[in-house]
Parts: sequence; structure tokens; C-alpha cells
Amino acid sequence: MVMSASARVGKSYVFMSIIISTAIILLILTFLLINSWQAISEIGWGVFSSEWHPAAGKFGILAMIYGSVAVMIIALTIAIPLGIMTAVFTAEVLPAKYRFYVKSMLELLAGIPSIIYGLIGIVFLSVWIEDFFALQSGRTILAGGILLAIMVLPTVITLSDDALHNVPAKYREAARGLGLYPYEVLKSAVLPHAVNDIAGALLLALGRVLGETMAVMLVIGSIDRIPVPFLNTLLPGQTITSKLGREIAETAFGSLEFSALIFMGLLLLVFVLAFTILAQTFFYQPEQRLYE
Amino acid sequence: MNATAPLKIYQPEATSAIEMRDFNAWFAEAHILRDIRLSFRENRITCLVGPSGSGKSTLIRSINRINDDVGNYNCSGEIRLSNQNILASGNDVAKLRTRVGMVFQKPCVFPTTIAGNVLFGIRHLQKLSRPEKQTIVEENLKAAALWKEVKHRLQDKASSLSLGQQQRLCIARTLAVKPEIILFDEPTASLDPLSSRAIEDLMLSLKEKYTIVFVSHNIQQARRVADDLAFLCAGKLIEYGSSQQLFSNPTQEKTRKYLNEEFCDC
Amino acid sequence: MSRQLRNRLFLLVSSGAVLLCTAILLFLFSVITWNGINALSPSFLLTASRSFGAEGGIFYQILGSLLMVLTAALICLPLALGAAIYKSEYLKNARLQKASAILIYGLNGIPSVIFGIFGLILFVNILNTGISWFVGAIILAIMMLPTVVLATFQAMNSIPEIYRESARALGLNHWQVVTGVLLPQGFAGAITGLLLGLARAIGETAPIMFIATAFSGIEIPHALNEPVTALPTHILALAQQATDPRALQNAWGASFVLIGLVTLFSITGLISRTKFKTVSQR
Repeated sequence: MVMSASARVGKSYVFMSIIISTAIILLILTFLLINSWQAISEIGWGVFSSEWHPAAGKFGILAMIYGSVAVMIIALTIAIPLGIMTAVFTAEVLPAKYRFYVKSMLELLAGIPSIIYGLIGIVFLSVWIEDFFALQSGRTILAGGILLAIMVLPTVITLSDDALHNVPAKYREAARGLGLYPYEVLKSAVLPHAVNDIAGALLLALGRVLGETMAVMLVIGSIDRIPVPFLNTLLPGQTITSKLGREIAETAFGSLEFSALIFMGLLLLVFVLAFTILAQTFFYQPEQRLYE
Repeated sequence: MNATAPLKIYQPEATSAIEMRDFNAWFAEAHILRDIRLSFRENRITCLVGPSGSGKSTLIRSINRINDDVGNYNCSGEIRLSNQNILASGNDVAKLRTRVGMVFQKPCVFPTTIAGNVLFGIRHLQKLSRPEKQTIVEENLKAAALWKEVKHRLQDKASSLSLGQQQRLCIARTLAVKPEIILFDEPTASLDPLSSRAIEDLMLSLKEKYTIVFVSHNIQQARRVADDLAFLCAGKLIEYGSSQQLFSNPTQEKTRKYLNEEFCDC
Repeated sequence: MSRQLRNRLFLLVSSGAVLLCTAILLFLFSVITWNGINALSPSFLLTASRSFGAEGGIFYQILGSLLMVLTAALICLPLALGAAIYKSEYLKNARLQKASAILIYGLNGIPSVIFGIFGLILFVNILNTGISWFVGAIILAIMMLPTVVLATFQAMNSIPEIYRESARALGLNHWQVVTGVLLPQGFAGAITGLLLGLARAIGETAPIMFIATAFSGIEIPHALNEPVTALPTHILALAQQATDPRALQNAWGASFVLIGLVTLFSITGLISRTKFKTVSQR
């Protein structure tokens, strides 16, 4: 078939567009890899030590990894049970006519910029924690974790609600017809269908928690130290993202410190990408909607 | 309409299992069922017939109150089961549904094994030992005329069965809960003729032990299976009587037309 | 009896969770609204900030934010349309289809701070653009890209095959089918995606704070490579001086305005999504 000129131009335009759109992510990965190469080759496994002290040439990122994992665990321990129980209510108990309002509310809540959560964290949450535990400063790992839990809650609720809502009504009806109570209907007829999507939702939430920057940066205290004792979350800490947010712009491009920071970013990116891609491709695909 | 109320003509000789008194139902503003007075006889098969939108499904789905969970549904009147009004508020609907089982239009098997589906309801009602489970699975699959076909693959996925087999599995699952009454909401609507026949035979064999109410679009099927017929039109009960009488000698012109598959303007 | 008890307990726990969530939600809304409205005044919206934001208003911050995100939308739109068309109408190989979906989903999942770092390395350090609002717009456009591509793709993909076949039967070539039949509906999807993308982009701090914004003293940029001031980075600066009550009050005011803009974009986006859905179902 002979193509007209406009068809040929059109086709090359759309082809270039898809190439650019899909290549950007690879470009970002490549840039991070190139720029962290210096750290990888010069410091080697030493990056996974616990001391970050640029003046002494020590670039250990363990404290930041600890911080990221700690806030993630705190945030998810709060947000997962709370979010799923709430979703159960909105999807299974709440009359359908209110659903639209609840969903819109959640969507608005999920849209509040993270910097504003950070402001609320500084003004209220960290002060409350300071007073409640009688600390010198409330800017602690715990504050970061709780704030992240609140931030990620709308996402957990709305995605779990979708997962439950997408289970065909016939299964509920059939189970009810056998004389099961709502709790049993949920447990035996609805959850087995929704569990995959809920798992996907939780993976997305996990990625979001790990990658969140501004709010955590403002409330976590920004000290590059692993707490002693190990599980004391009432001390200030540092996550990968808060470290990057605070220091990358002040670090000289091309220095070993810059490279070590980029390496942290690469590590973060690889994990978040793994969670996101796993969630979107293997678990969560109703209508292929996007959630950030 | 009470002047021609068919209930006065028809006197059921067997005791009735369910009685509906002045039953009305609405979806939002739409008045779906009007002043229904009906009594379903014990150990008989009663078939509800009528054109689409006549309220048959709403009626049958009211008997185990499964409509309660549908938005905008409202009803008034009484439905009496062993002399208690099941519509009374505070009644435990879950318990009611163990007494009044239901088989739906489309077979709906749960994503578990064949045996797991049979046990799906009953295992919530009582603790079962392993041999008890085996007995329940076998007994009910036999009662549902499915045992021969699946006895060697009880641990297979239920979704691997054909649609007709799935529907019989749904019946077995309902029987396992030991209901007194079973409601069939167009159970053969999505099945091929041969599978439909299997379900019909099954219903006939079940009526010794259970009271059966079913909805059908298929008049020939009603003729084959039903002891009693109730003809509904536009939310009203037009005529109710033994199947034989309604087919041979209906009192209402509408009934005669509908049962003869002629055009019926209601 | 114990079955009923367990059911009650379950209802109790789940209503408890709902109450807690509602309480959090009410707290967030009331804090933001109450403090925000108290800080708001016409002069706050219409004057420049002074004394590092502690005094004056946020006029140039609003302008700067809007300038950056709207430019980002303009950069994003043609690219997203093209990519969506290719993905929906030309890409027939299932494996490539899957791969492109993974790459686009992946792009959507990238933490915002990484975009900032990418911009810092590529533009500020390698291309030596300096701190520039236009670079900020490019990075925000990349962030919005997946949302817009997928919204457009879904809109086009949901058009029944019969429309394409009818158009082809009339003698239209592939590209004419695209522009005549698919693009109108795809464009509606793109607008929805753009609005939702804008709602996200305007609130982002991390991607722009290294590469596009200065904290104060900036008005309207006169060239592509000049910095700009923006609402989220302004709130960040004010939040770091939260011990000063005047700075804090201005931070609440700016937050309220920012949320207002986010809500404006997302509500129009949601409306356009619902409206559009009813069209495609017909």
C-alpha cells in the first residue's frame, strides 16, 4: 500500500513520541548509574557501612537505609490495617449512594501536596510527639512514620475499596443465599477474589512511602545515625529521600560525595520501580488505571 | 381486584409452607409488586410465570430477603414461614437463608474445589470432622445428581465443570445447608436444553423432601415440572392454581393467552 | 451465637476504623481551611512577598507555579498524544505492548525527588542551563507524561472496533482513521489526563527545588533560563522558619491557595472523566 505524505509524517511523529516516552525512564536509570559509578568503584561494599562523614572520606549509607525502612514499617503497620478495615466498610457496608462522595473525598485527600503534609507535621504532629514523650525534639523517625501513614492512607483505602468493589455481586449473593453473615461473606466469598488486587495496592503504597520526600524531610530530624538502641524510633533519623532532598543541591557535581548520594538515589529507584512494576503488571489491573 | 381474587377459588389441600399476605414491593418509586396473596404448598413445586418485568424475580428474591441488600428496595405486608413473619425487623436474615435456600439464574461457583463448594456454606454453620465432610460432599452431590460425574475429581477446580454441572453443584451446595424450602430463580436460563432437562429432573426428585418455588420463562418447562402455577403480570397476581387447572381451564383470559404463548398485553 | 458475635465484632472494628479515618480527615481539612482562611486577604494574593516571605503576599509564587505547570502541559500534550496513538493504533505486537506499558507505569512510579536529581544532572550540570523555570517545566512535563499517555490510550482503546472498520470501509487510510475517528475521542481523554496531571504537578516540590526555583526576590522571569518562585517551594521555605508566627501564617495562606489550585484541576479532571465516560458507553 502506498502511503500518502501526511500518513508518513503522522506515523513517524507518533513513532518518535512512543520512543521518547518509553526511553525517558531508561535514560534516567542510565544517568543515575553513570553518576554513581564513581562511588561504586571507589568505595565498593564500603557504601553499606554505617558512617556518613564526607570530611573524613566516609560514605556509609546504612543509616539512611535504616531510616527509610523504619519509616516504611511504621507507616505500613498503621496504614494497612486501618486502610483495609475502612475500605471494607466503604465497599461492603456503606450504601452505594454515598460511595461517590467518599471516593471523591479520598481522591481530594490523596491530592494534597506532600509539602503541606510536611507543614502539618512540623506544626502539629512533631510538637505532639515532643510533648507526649517529653522529648527535646519531636522531629523523629516515629513522626516521619506516622505522617507517611496519614499520607498513604487515602491511597490504601481507595485502592482496596476498588479491589473489593470489583468482586462481582453474584458471589456475595450466592454466599448470602447460603445463610452466611456479612463477616463470613466477606471472608469466604469476597476476599479470595480481592486479595490479589489488595496486594497490588499495598505494593503501590509501599513504593509511594519509600519515595516520599518533602513531608519526611521536614519532620524526621535529619541526623545520619542509626539509633541506639536499635529500635528506638523516638530519635531523629534520616531517610534516603530526606538526605537527597537536603544535600544534593549543595554537593559539588563530580565529587565522590555526589556520586555516593546518586548511588542512594539509584538504590531507591530500583526498589520503588520493582514494587511499582510488580504491582501494576502482576496484581493490580482493573481498567489499567494509574495511581500515583 | 379483590373481587376476582383467585385465592378464594383455589383451596390448597396440602399444608402451606410459606404464605404471603398483602405483600408489596418497590424499587425506589417503582411499585414492582402489588398486594400479593399467595401460599406455597409443602413438598410441591410452584412455578411463577409471567412476562419480563412482571415481578417474578422480585417476588422470589423477597422470600429469602436477598433483595434487602439491593439499594432502594422496600417492601410491606407479611411473608409467613412456620407462622412467623420473616419480614419482622430484628429477624436474623442469615438464619432465614439457611432455611430458605436459593439457586440463581447464572451458576456462580466459588473459586475453590468442587468439594470446597459443596462445603462452602455448611462449614460456617457447624464444625465438621474430616469424615463428616466426606459424607456431606458425597450425599449432597448424589442428591444433586452430580456424584457420578465428579466423584473422581472432587479436588478439581469447580470452574472446570460445564455450566450445567456448575448449576447442579450450586444446588448441592444449597442442599448441604439443609434448607426446608429452595428457591430457583430461572435456574436453566443460561443452560443448554440437555442440562436444563437434568435440572428439571432434579427438581422433581427434590420435591419429596423440599418445598420448591421456581421462576421460569419457559412455559413448556412449567408444564413439565410444576404442581402449582402462579401467573404474574405487571406486579399483580392474576391467577393462582394447580398447573393442570391453569393450563386446561384458566379463569382469566390473560392467563389463557400467556400460557398458550399468544400475545399478552399486560 | 459465636458466629453472630464475631460478625458484630467485625462491624464494630470496621466502624472504628472508619471513625478514626474520618477524624483524621476532618482534622486535616479543618486545620488547612481554618488557618488558610485566616491568612487570606486580597492583598495577600496580589502583592509580592517581602522579608523572605514572612511579610507581603504570594502573587509571584502563584504566577510562577501556573507558568511552570501550564508550560509543562503544553510540552507534554503533543508527546503524550503521539505516544498514545502509537500504542493504541500501531503497536500490535503483544510483547512490545506489554513492555511499553511497563516502562510507562515505571515512569509513573519514579519518586519525585529522582526527577529533580535527573534534572539537576542533565540540565543544570551537563547542559549548564543554570536554575531555570523552563527546565522545571520540562521535568514536570515528564512527570505528567504517563498520566496523560494512559488516559489518552484508554480513551482511544475503548472505541469499538466497528468505528475503525466503518471508516476504513469508506476508503480512509490508517492515518485518516486516526485523525478523523480516534483523535477526537482521544483528545477528550488527553484533557482529562492533563488536568489530573496538572493537579499533581502543581503541588510537587522535590522535582523543582534544585533546578527551577529561587526562594525569594524573583518576579516574572524574562528568559527561559531564569529562575522563578513557586508556591510549593515557597511553603517549604516558610515551613523552615515556622517558629516565626508571621512566616507560619503566610505558609498556611500559601498552602490554602495551593490546595485550591490542586482541587480546581482535579475536580475539572474528574468532571471531564465522568462526562467522557458516559459518552463512550453510549
